[in-house]
Amino acid sequence: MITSYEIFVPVIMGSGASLRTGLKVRELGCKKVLVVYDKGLKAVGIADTIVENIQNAGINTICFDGVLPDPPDTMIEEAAEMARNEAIDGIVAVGGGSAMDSAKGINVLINNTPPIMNYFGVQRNLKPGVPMVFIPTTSGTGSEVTNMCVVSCTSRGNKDSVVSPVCVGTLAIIDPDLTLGLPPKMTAATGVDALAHAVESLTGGQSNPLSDALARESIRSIAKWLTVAYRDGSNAEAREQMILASMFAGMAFTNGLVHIGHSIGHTLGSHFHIPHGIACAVILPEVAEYAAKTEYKKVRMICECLGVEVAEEATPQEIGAIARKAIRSLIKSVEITNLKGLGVSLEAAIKVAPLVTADTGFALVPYRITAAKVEEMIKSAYDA
Amino acid sequence: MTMWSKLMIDMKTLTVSKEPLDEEYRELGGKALIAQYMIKNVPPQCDPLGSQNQLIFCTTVFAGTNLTTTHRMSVGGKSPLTGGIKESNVGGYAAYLLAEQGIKLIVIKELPASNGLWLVHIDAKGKVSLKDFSNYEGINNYDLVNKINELFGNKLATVSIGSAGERLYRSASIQVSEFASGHPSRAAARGGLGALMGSKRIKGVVIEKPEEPYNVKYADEAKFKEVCKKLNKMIAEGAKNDPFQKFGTISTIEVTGANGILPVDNFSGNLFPEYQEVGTNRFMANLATRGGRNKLSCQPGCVLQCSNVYNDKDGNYLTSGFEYETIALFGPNCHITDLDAIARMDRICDDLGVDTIEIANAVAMCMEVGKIKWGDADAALGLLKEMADGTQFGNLLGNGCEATGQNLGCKRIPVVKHQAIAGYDPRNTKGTGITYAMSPMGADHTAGLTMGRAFDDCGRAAQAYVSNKLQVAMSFADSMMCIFAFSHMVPGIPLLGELMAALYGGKSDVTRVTMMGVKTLLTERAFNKMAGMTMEDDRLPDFFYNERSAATGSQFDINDYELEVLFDF
Repeated sequence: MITSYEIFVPVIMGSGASLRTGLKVRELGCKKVLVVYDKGLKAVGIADTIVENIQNAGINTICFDGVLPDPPDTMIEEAAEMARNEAIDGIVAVGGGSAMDSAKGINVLINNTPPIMNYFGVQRNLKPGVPMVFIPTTSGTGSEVTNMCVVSCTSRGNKDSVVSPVCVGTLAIIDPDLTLGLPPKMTAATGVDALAHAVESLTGGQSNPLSDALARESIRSIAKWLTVAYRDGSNAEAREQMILASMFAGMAFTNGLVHIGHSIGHTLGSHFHIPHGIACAVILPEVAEYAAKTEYKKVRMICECLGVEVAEEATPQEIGAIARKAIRSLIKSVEITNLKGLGVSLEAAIKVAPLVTADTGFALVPYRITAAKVEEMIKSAYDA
Repeated sequence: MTMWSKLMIDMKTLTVSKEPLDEEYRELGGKALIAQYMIKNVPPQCDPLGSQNQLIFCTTVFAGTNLTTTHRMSVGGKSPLTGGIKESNVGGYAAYLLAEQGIKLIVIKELPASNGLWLVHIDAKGKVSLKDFSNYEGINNYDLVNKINELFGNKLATVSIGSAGERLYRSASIQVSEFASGHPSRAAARGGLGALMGSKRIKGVVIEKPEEPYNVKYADEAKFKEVCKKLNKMIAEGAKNDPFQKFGTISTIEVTGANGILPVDNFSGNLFPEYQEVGTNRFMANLATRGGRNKLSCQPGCVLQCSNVYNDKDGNYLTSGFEYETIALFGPNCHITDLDAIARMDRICDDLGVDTIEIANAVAMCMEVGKIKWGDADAALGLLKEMADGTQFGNLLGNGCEATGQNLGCKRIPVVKHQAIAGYDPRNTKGTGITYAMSPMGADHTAGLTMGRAFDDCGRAAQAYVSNKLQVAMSFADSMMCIFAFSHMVPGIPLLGELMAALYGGKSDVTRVTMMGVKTLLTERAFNKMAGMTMEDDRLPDFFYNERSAATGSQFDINDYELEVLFDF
């Protein structure tokens, strides 16, 4: 198959790299930037350090500290109005996926008339925005290197995304030190998000040798380092490996795309207010098992990356079952519970199955499945 | 008259009866009605040309209303070409006048005992009769329409077959006259339904404009008109920027010629640098200098107006309804760059009553094996003349691409379910390839042309999804209106639920429409399965999997399982 390698964002990386933010923003020619983050990041002092760093480089800053989890369209539109009124010429996002997706959404609306829901889907002709610098503080989203932003649509009650060059950062600054203080629960929830990106992109319809390599490396790293980072947040090597794995997975799914797992994850997430990473993780083992039907070679690779042996003569079905068990065991090792443990009733959980098949991401599934089959997947995952 | 009628025509007894439409078909029309009628009344394993097959004509769900382009006519039966279910729909004036006559459905059953030829005549008073038309045997469509006009005047629509239908060619079409001009240039072309009509020994159907037009009964007329107005406005707005209106369907070639979707030299996968020789500019220039026309409506009330009249060098009428498929397949796919020659081929096909897609592909078979040279328009016209004359080879050609290709020992035969592939290379629009493979109709672009709708036409991602969505949408669109107009009212699809409720009563619920699409597809597939089709029939020819398109390097690489589960709802 002929494919294209989509590598979108230049990256600088290393312990302390975030201290170069001001210099880099100045190199981009910005005079007045909007800094986007959430209140939690301000509380731990990371936001102030970076804002000060930017100001010290002689650049004016305007702060939007109102980022909410699963950023709602209304919040993005409000922030974008502020950005337009202040005539900013750059955006710096500091935080997890929510902060970066908010920044992307704001950027879409700098020169394109709101509401943002008008731009859901693949957009090839949006007017460009301003330079964006992304500084992740979690190891999960990979958003710093992707071309999409996920937005909660308040009027429709679901999540959708804008896929556009306007969502692509000008620079990503990867500083593992920023993740040192991430609490264990967050470390686990974001780490399994990266795992979901890697597993789904490896089995996705647009996967290519580059994205496969990135995804495999990401899975290997996560298998080795996630539990270490979870148990000892101050382990710098684990933090560095995890933020790298997250970035690799982000690069992988920019190429390979995610599919049914994210359709289920987004639907569970918006219905039961489950954090994104966990919502994707609880179903990920079943996703790999489902994919094995046609993508068994890829699922075999997943097993190998997880350090699980698969017999040479194993059938697709057997490979799928092995992958399901291996992924679940990894997820359990960082004490991520199942849907039952999250307090969702089985009845309510399976009710979302028809909505999964209506999710826009359903377009990317390796092969079509019915709502009834999605229900079976949810049942299998429910108390596993 | 208070409700829709159906005409039941029995060719064994040569009797006609007009009866109220069955309650079970009340909310159906077009493709959906054909599928439900067929599954209940036609044995799937019957001989397509035998007494058990039935020929069905019907109007759409919204027939008789002001919804723009709603007057398409669907023709159904078991296909003499594919051996499966067939619904082929057509524009022109017939469906409009059928609606004015209060007729929703015409069913023609059985075979006549003698080898006569008949005309179904629906007069201005609504009286229906079978007229002996055996004197018109061998008369082709253009002459036939002239004779009909001499006999019955010109306030009428015609539905007819040429000699191809009489000779039971598996490529035979049913031709319908255009609104205003009366030219028999609109074809229910695909699947050889003209042969089915020929087997019934029906030469034509004449529908006169009734003295008293039928009034549609609405559950809530005011509401219907309000919603209908919104939809018509939306379609008219969209049509303003539609190249199909500005130029015609020929404009498609500007896209496909550049990206390798245009078939060239029997789907060789090459680009055709000269495609603009048969492109929009040449077409428009020829219209302008020869008194041709575009922006014509094939049916009353159409706001899209994609039809045309194409004249020869001397300004004399040559053909109309001159479309992309015909131009792509007789043109670049046969390496022919002479637009006038292609227009003559179109005229010959319409006159004889054959499917241009099927015949152009059959001509390409002759070029592929070297029977005639690539690009030799005169030789191609010579083959069409053989078909008109009914020579032995002409008769073979008339049976279509697969029959011709197999007879000539051709290895690369572009058919699915025995029906020739339309003007889009499935390697370079893979979703369309999925549609070709999976549509119960056989290789049919109108069942779900995905071009430009997935991430990358040559990639795998989202192709099955888009094909599935479009096939469902086209199934219900083909039950209610022209798919070109439909493409401009996609944001208004939820309003179709309101339209159903305002016309038929009941709940305003768009699933009444969308489920019609799903049910139709599944019914059609069930029919095909009972007719003996298997998974093997749901595949493209091997060469699309094995040979690269030189234009893009792409091969058709959608895996079998993805196809197998395409219609799991």
